[in-house]
Amino acid sequence: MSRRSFLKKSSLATLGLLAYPAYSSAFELNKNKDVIIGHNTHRYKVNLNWGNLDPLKTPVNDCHEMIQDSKGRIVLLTNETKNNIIVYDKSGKFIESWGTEYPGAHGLTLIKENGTDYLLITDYERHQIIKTTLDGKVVFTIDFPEQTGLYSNKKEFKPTETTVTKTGDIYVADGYGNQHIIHYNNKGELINVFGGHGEGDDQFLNAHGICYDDRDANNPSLLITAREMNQLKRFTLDGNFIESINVPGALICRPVIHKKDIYFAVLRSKNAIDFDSGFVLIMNDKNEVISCPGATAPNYKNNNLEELYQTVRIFQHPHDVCIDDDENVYVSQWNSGKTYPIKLTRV
Amino acid sequence: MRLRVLIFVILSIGCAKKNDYLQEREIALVQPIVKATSTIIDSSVVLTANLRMKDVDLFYTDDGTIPNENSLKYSGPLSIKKEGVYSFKAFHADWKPSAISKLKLYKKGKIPETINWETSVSATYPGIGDLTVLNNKKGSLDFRDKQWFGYDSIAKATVYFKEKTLIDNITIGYLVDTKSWIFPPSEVKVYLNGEFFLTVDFKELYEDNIAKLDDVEIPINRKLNTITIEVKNTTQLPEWHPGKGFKAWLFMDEWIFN
Repeated sequence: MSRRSFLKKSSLATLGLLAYPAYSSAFELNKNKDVIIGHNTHRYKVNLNWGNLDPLKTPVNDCHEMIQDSKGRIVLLTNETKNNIIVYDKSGKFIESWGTEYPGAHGLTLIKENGTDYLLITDYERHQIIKTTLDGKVVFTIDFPEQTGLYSNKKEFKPTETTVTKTGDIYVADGYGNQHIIHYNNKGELINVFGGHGEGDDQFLNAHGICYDDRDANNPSLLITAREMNQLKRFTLDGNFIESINVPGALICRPVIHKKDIYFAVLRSKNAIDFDSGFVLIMNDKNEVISCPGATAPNYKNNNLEELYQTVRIFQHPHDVCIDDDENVYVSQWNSGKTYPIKLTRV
Repeated sequence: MRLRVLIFVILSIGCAKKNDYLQEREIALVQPIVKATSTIIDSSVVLTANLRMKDVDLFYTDDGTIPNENSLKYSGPLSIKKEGVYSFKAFHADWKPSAISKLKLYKKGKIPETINWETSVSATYPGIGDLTVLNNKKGSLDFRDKQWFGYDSIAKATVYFKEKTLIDNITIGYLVDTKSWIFPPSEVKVYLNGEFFLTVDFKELYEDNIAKLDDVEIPINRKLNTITIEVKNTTQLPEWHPGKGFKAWLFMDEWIFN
């Protein structure tokens, strides 16, 4: 039992004698209020105990990314090589773990092929993308894109994220490397490369996350975060820049589309005094920010979003979000004292 | 014995509803964002504080003490004429109060006629040129801010006043951003009219990463024409730092002569 839960239970026990049952209308059992964070339609209670495991048996380092598989299980990727993958049920109960060979485990993407789930792991220390089965068998690897002529050696390639289209094409964001977006077909053959380091519309400073956006089925596109620029950029599937969406103050990690909304972990607030000043950000189907759990309420003035920043000290460095089929959000964090993910329960 | 059993049963019922959710009183607010139109006061500056959250109240002090809910309540931009340390804290009925945000405001100093640098500033962080430390503009926490004059060795310059001038003290402003290998000076030497005057040694050791604006105020209380200031960087990063053993950067924004 943690110290915090011991104190909580002790105080309830003290009140219990008077509170139950005759005095329950006169005295509240618990005068504390559950934290509720977020705004408008997307508000959440916070569970810091979800998924906590024995760190001696199943440790984590940075909790980089999470997905929910077809069986409804929550899959966590960490760069702890004792167990790079930890699989939970939605209640936070441990199911299994595997993976010891991914020191730079960073990006985690779910692929569904003919009713079978696969994972794409990006490892920036191995300079590779690895496709695995859901129990950890390697299907194939993609090495650094030498044939583009844009990389002199594999160490320049530090991929952070992948996304897969309906046809199986794979896009890789080289977010810690040369900032290119590399496009492969479903056989792993190079099709195109675009982006690159810079501050132009079609360039990136920290192309950290990417996702395939088919909310408009007739015009699917790519959403790519330029984290240091506090921008989300949209490109056509053949790599042409369409638009930038500004999120002032928010270092957004990767876009995660759930139904019609886009969810982001925000690593930190750009101008905060504290480094560990992250939060969660949610956009609606018009790409307007509608909720920022842990941060300022989104407010538009003359169509410009006011700078966002952390307001309560809940999150440290959120790195990814996973939204389950109950609309709850799991937040995995980088550089946060080797803590397990946080669960946000929608209210 | 029967009573004990009854109490146990009641307590068990009282404990039965387990609440995994975080409680508001367990969590602190973020410290307010405090800004001034300038942190060097000529006649007056405007000070603003903000934490954009419903039902938050901000309280402040102007004497360096810790604010509480009996302190001055912030209700809008403040016109400030007096130098000092302004401290702000956020309060809310349901959340723990924030940490303190401090902003130091300086009185505008006497401006020397010229400055002659004897050592070269970093080519990467040259500020706005030789006058960076005399332009009455403080730097921000962003080390890329053009108000920072960066050195990776000794910074030495002599300033010249037009006529003999009474100087009570000198304030040297610097940046601490340990993640970016920017540390306080290790030593400052001061020469008055060409004669050695004093050495200030820095004893402050950081054991964790920190980012802040800081300064050292050196008492002078002499009439003089020239002052030579020699500021030495930290030559060895501490054991805990990823760059241990390597030299640190020294970033200065203003030399203020009062």
